[in-house]
Amino acid sequence: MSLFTFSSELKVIAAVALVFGAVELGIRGIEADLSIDMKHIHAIPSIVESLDRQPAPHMVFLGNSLTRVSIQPEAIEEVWPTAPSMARIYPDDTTLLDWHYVYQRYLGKVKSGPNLIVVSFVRSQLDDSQELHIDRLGSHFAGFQFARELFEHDVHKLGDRMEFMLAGVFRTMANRERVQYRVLASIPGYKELADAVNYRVRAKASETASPSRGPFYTRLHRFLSTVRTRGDKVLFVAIPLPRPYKVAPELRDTIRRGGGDLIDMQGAEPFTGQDFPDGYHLSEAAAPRFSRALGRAMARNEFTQAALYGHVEH
Amino acid sequence: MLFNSWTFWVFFALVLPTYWLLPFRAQTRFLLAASYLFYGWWDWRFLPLIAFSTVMDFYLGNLVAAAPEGVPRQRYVYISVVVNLSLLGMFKYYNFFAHEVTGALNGLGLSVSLPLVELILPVGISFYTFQSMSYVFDIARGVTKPATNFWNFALYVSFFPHLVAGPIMRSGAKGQDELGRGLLKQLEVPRAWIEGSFAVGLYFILIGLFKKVVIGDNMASLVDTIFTEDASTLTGPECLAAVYAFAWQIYADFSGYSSIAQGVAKWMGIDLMHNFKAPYLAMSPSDFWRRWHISLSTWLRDYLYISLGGNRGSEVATYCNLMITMVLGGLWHGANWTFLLWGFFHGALLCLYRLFSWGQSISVTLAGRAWRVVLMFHFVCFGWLLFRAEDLSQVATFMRLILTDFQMTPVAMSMLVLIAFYTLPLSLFEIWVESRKDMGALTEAGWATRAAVYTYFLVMLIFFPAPTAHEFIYFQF
Repeated sequence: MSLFTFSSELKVIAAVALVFGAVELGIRGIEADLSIDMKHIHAIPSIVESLDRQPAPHMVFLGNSLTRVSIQPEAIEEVWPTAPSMARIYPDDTTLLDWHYVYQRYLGKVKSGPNLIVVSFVRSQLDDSQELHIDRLGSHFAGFQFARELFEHDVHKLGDRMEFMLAGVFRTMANRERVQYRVLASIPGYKELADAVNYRVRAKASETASPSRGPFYTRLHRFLSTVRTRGDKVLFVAIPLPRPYKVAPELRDTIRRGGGDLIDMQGAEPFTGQDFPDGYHLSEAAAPRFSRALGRAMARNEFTQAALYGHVEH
Repeated sequence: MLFNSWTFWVFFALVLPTYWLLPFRAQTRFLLAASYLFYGWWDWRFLPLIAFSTVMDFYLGNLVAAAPEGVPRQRYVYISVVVNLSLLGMFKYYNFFAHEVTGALNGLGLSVSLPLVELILPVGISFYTFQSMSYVFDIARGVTKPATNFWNFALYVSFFPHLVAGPIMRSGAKGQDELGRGLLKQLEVPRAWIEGSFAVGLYFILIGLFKKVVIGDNMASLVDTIFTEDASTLTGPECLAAVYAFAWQIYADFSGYSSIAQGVAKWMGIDLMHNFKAPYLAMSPSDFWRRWHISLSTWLRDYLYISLGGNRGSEVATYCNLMITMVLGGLWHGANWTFLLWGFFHGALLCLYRLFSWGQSISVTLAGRAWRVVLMFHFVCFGWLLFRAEDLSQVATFMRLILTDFQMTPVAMSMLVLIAFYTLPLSLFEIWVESRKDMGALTEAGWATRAAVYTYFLVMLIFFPAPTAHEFIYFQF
């Protein structure tokens, strides 16, 4: 095998770096248009700014695609005429830790208060078992600004920390999951296969997880304490799914002790399987019904009234 | 500390410059300490075991060299074999045999219960045990001399790039030139930094990471999904796709590890042998074993098959020797009937090809070569089904479905497309490498070609990692 000089290999490395530089620039240029979700994530600062310009009090619905589909501010206003200024933040496939950093990074900038944060969730999205999306935490939700807190509490492995830092610097790293999905989704039958693989991966993760009595809510406790420290209030809303799920007593307890409140909206409306066309999200027809039911429930809820107006409105 | 982890690369980034800054003798001690740190990272409790094996074989090597030929020399060799294999047997095989013997005796109506022991299998024990045994064998055969000092030998056993999953390096005895430069011989002389080493090491590291992270781990997700699925929900094409996926998983995983080991060692001025040479381009079983896990297959050939008599006796004796070698090769992989059956199957395949002279090297047309390669690949795949299956009933179920159920489902279709997406570029690359008859052919190509190939590797590494990273399969052996 003949031997090359080091400088010759530098040419190779420079060429590879040049290609990746171009890819990085390209992704930075088109990032906001990669998907509806990315468009929304990029719009979060302007959503918050716009809310800040509206008269206090403010109410922010924080969640994921369930919030996007199920919670419609116009429908809420129909049944709750004195509803405060509202905004929705709903990056896809997010759970409590993402919301924790979205709250700190973006909503912490709302100058006029008080604010009521309404977090909508299903099943175990508030407990500590939720998988972290390190790429997105690094690039969109936490960023370097909250790296210290994240490393102290949430991301302990060196590999995960490196991934976080790389995603914070390079948009290529931050968006690789989306690019991968875009490419692979063009393969016929990929969705069925991905569902089967994901099911197996989750099952394996739960098999290898250390046996514990769980669920645990240390992240939730931290979130509640952060919100409280900033003088805001948080209300949790359990969103209905085709199959009802149990809201754990420990969850209620943690929320109550953290100064928040919970409204379980399962069963608030008599939804059937047909109201969930994809088996998860409410249909276009069912969503306004749900939003109106939520508006009525919030209008009656003493915690909500006290959080927004400092007293209970009758 | 996996090669595909950041922890390893941070470790290596600290080790490499320090190593080159040190003088020769200090380099050896430093690398030895780094290797023990690397090994202890898994479990520090394994360290006394490898230290014991090292000390024992070093002194046995000296005793063998000093002993007169014949019985006294053989006595020391037997001690090495018995102690090394006893350690291996205790950690790796005891529970299996205890379980099987208990089952057999109970089946005969004898109520016997052999105690099972809770032992963690020390990572890489099969690799370093075989390596240090080969050192004693070579001294006994008079083809090599003992190590010049203990530290060189200790590093020869524990050199971290190849410690936990090979290649099983020889010391550098006479007549082993086909296996490249012996590791012990390289460690005994000062290493010099050759500028070209960077390019070669970079190539091995990048292709190794690509194989492991992109192909191996992605195939593992497919394989695990199908092999753990309830068989009643599977179809033939899904099972077949899972077997293909496993063929690529095990190849990419293991050869990826070997390749990274080669690259890392190269950057330290040390050559490790090629452990794989495009094995799925083999036309016959003997051709396959010249390309697959070469360090183990040549070990078995040199120290077992030839010691049994090789092909020097009658035809029947040769077949027996082949079967014994391959069954024991299967057993090397672990204590399970499926591994034994895998070894038996490969032994039978070698015998069959030998019996009908199918494996003889004859010049064939491209089409003739193609069908032989495809046929051999499918034989190997059947072997992989035996290797991967949880038990023999799963083998039977998969075979029944593959042969009788041809329903092409969306899952099977997307698995086949995914396998092609991940493995076709590597296959084409290997065909090109094969045509150049040089495993490092890419390092001799123009810089633009290398840049294009490395860009492809990196794009795939960044954008197409698997949903979860997996350990290297061969760590468990």
